[in-house]
Amino acid sequence: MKTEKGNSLWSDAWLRLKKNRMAFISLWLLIFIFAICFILPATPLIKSARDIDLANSFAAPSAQHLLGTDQLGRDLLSRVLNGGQVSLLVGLIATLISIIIGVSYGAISGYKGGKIDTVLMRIVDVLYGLPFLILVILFSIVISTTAKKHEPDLLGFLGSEALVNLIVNILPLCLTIGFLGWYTMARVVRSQVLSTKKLEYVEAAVSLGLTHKNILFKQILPNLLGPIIVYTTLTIPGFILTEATLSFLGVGVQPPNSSWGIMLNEGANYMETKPLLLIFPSIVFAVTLLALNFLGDGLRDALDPKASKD
Amino acid sequence: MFKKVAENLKLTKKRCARQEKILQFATNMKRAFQHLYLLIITVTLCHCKSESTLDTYTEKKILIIGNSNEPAGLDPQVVTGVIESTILRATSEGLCVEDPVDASIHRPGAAASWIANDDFTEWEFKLQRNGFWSDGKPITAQDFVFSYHRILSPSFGAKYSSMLYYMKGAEDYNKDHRELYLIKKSTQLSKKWDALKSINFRGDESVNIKGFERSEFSSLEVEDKKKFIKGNGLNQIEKDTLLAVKADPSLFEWPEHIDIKTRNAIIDIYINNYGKDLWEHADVGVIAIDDYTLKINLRSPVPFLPDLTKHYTWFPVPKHAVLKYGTISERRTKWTEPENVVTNGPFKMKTWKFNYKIEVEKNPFYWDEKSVKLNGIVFLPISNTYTEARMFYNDQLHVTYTLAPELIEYSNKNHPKSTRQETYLGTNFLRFNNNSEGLNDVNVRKAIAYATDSKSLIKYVLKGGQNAATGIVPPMGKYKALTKFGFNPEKAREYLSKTKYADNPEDLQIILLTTDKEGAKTVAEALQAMWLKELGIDVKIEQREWASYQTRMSKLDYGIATGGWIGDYPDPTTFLDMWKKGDGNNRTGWSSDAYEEKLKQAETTKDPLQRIETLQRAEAVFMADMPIVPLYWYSSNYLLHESVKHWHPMIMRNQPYKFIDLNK
Amino acid sequence: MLKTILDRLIQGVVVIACLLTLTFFLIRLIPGDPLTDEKAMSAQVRKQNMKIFHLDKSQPVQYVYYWKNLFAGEMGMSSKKEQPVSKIIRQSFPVSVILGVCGMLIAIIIGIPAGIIAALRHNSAIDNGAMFLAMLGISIPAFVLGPLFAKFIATQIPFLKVAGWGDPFDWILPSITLGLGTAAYLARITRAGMLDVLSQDFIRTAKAKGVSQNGIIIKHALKGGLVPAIAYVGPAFAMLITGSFVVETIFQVPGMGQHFVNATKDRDYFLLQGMVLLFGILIVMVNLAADILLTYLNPRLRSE
Repeated sequence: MKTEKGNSLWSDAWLRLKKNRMAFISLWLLIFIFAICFILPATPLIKSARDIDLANSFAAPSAQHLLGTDQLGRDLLSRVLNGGQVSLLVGLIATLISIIIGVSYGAISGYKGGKIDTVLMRIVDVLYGLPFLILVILFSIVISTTAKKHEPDLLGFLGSEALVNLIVNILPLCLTIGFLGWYTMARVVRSQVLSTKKLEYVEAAVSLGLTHKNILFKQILPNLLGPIIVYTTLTIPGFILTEATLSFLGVGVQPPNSSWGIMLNEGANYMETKPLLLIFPSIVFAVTLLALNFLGDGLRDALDPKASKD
Repeated sequence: MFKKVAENLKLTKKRCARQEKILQFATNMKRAFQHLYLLIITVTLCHCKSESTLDTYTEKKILIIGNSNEPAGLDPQVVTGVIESTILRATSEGLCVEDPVDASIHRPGAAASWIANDDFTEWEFKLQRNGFWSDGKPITAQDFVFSYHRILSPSFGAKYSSMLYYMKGAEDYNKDHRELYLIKKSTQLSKKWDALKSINFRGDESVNIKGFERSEFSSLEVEDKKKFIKGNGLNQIEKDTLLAVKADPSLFEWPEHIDIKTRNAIIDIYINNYGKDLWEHADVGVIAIDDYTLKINLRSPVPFLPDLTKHYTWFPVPKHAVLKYGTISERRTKWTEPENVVTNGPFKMKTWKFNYKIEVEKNPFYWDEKSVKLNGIVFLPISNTYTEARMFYNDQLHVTYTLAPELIEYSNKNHPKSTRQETYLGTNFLRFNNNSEGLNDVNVRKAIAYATDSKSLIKYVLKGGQNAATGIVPPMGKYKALTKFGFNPEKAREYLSKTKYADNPEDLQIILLTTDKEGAKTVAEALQAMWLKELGIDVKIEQREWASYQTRMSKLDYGIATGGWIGDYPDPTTFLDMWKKGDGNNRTGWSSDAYEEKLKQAETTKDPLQRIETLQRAEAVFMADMPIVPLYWYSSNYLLHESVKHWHPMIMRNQPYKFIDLNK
Repeated sequence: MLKTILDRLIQGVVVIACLLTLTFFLIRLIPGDPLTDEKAMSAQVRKQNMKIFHLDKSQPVQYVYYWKNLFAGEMGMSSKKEQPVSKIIRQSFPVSVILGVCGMLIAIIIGIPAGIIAALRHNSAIDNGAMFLAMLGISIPAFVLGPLFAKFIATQIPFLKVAGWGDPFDWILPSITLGLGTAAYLARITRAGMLDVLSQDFIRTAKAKGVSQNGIIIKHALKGGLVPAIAYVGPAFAMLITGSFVVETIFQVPGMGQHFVNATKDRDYFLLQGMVLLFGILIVMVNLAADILLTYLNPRLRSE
């Protein structure tokens, strides 16, 4: 059925994406990075990121440790991969949350307009002005105490300690960053909705008496995809670095978990002495972001409703 | 046709006008750019002339010091930290001054000479005859009495007043134990004192008044009113509450045997004296015999009093300047504003810009002005230690506050003459929550303690030449810890085998609480790995920002917590007193009568050697219970420029600035 | 127009009032208080200090007291630094404005032209190259970029210092460090906005009619294409002024960013309140300015 339809937004987009070489390479690169970050550490090929060997700190890359070891003698490759799990999860989950909240909030605000719009946008102003750190501290207390309370249940339910650790330690952080990071998205979506609403065909749809749902999802949303995707590719690196900042203020992921942001931050301190500690995480981080970016641009082009007329 | 031409003409004119405008704009821009160039050139020239490398400062004899952070103020009686101390010791001076080389020598400061009686309880200080404040007024013994009165004044709320509790009567006055003055010494009631002692004057700490301690008294329910009064005691309640007690005696738990007349008399005395300063009645042991003679009476023998007087809490403040801007017990008046502040040290305040710099300059009225070699000191609040090191390498600083562990090796290699490593009087340790499940067993505590390899921690993580601690008190003078404690995995496992966790150490669920301070995380991770390896105990690290960390520690909401203590004065008691029961710094839930007995015994011992021995025995009692794990004794690592002369290692980092010189 | 502005200003006052109120109660919800210290104090001293900092009353009473003082022009005392909040702001605000404005200028000068050029040469090597650099700019965080600049640039050029804030030369490196990240964001947003407009029907028509490309850009595309960029610049500017914590500590700049973070960490209630007040005013003003500019550029945005 689907292939027959052929002209739907998504299959069209897929065809166009395949034509964009940069985007396609990026897509495979991202899949690769995800795969090695999440699968490799579970295999015996990679040493445990927790194995500390103080006497062997700052070892140079060798067959034993492909990227060498860090300040506590841990395998750097393993640290980079494990850090990648946290960073990618935080980047994606937090972004997803912020998109869900930001898009619906911004869309409602822009679509309803008038007093509701004013009130909603002023609420965003207030939230935007609140000191981030206070909210983070409050959020992490509330969420992590709840998570801790249910830790035994979770362990019984999931059976895997690593999974529980993930949920108890990293999920609260994702939620916090996501819940506090949707303001700009809401603003972007709102202004886009406002300007799309006035387009002739949308006004026509309104006068034809189409339902709100239909207008919002069928007429307006396709116009939003471009800005949302572009903004998302900007949000992910922002969130990954936010996580690092929070960790350094003592409200982020709990050791011995680590993340790319933390590794960059710690690595920066070894800039003069052990530059490898900065360089390896930097490369992985930058490559991931570049791939994300080119994939995002490809998606944007592919999903652009106006481009489909070409 | 004509019209068209005219129109064309108009257009041309318009165009011309526009072109002219553009031209004008261009010339304007050009001129603006020329101005900009001029500006840049002038700034560059000025830059080359005034702002310059370290050498010019060295020539001008101005010392530039990294000071880590912004001080919390310039009032020696308000502040509590090391950062403030480094500045205050430049601008102010106590009775005695450190010797730059030999810590056991006390040099004359505001006092020219001093003598003590045989048991070190009475001291007489002769002040410098030519001692002047930085505004030219003479420094008198009355200034000192005023200063100690001020810091001890209950309503002043000095956070560090306990440093003066060695003085007779100081603690009672500071804690506002007013019954001692109002009732015990009153003409009408003093005879009945023995019967009146049992009245709840000081409040009952076991009463929980947390829920309503901030509410208006009159708005409380009767039961809460009673609790409130019981919790606070007569000494601490407000006037309206006293009146309420008088009107309704049932609000207060009067001892049965006290009749109504006496009760009313007591309340009346309290009401009449409400809010009054009782200094005159308190007989605190500080007396001005004449303008230049100060007598200090102590509650017990204190042979190290000259050391105490070097601490900023013992520094004098100028009576005339403080009173000019407010009363004695008022805090945060304008007298400490940089333009108003008057001090007695070798330097005086020049400028203070927040998060930027504090400048002090030579004080012309200083009694020993001729031996001061520097013309000024600049303190920079550089909180980022890597920035600080870069500034030093780039010749922007004479002395850094610290040196990050990552950079010690690098500095040793590239700046060997500048890299300094010295002992610093302080201990880093881990607190155990002695009340928590598992850790309430002394054998579990000992197992963890002996499984802690501080030598490796120092060698591979801290890298600052610290010494592995064998006890809570670092070695100082004649004091050496009796107990020998150190990493011993066999012993650790032996202790663990005596506990119920012998076969299942993973059942021990312990939280290792640490903070966001630089390097804290790495240390925590190393410790976690050590205990897992040696004992199979897998602790969970919780890193919290500073205030949350402090709060959780005070509430005993942790299992093991990182911590440290810097000595205030070079005497073992500065490390031992904090573990007394109820001391706010204890935070372990541990207490021991035997331990406090030993401390009390030492306090009354006259012979210094015997006193030290008693203190050593107290430490042995402490270590036998292992309420903490001593990790290491601090060292201070920093960078010092070669042009700085007469800068000697000081175990308390209390460099006497007046002896320092700058020379290329 | 004037009515709209007035309306927005009134809304702004409400926003700031809500902001101050929320901050006031939220900061009191998190663990610790202004007297939390490494060294504990006795109960009596603690009580006295609570009195000195007006913390001895119930929260509603404290709240009323705060507003009373604020209306009298009194922002209170910083409990950590024992200095008037107004004085701290007076000293650090100008520094932050300089840093923020310079950073923003750098971001605009680099980001917007890069975005426009990338969009015009869509999917070309120039586009990919510019976006590559932009993404690099985003993925090198300030805490890495700053030390790199200090180590490799400041030490090579005689009039640059690795850190410090004395003369205008000291503005250069912090501003670039602060501005580059924003420049990268701006480039991405501008590019997307321009692409959006360039693919719209009226531009295609103009192209088909043979209007030169430069003509199109100036006449139509810029007007619509810069909308998202301007919407972003507003809040970004406020963030640059107050949120430069990392850059400030790396380059030893005496600005407000450090106070913002430290006031929260130290539970310095009144200082935080003062910082939030200032930030609130900034937010209201920049958002208003951005909205006015946006309605001017794109009349479709007028909501009524």
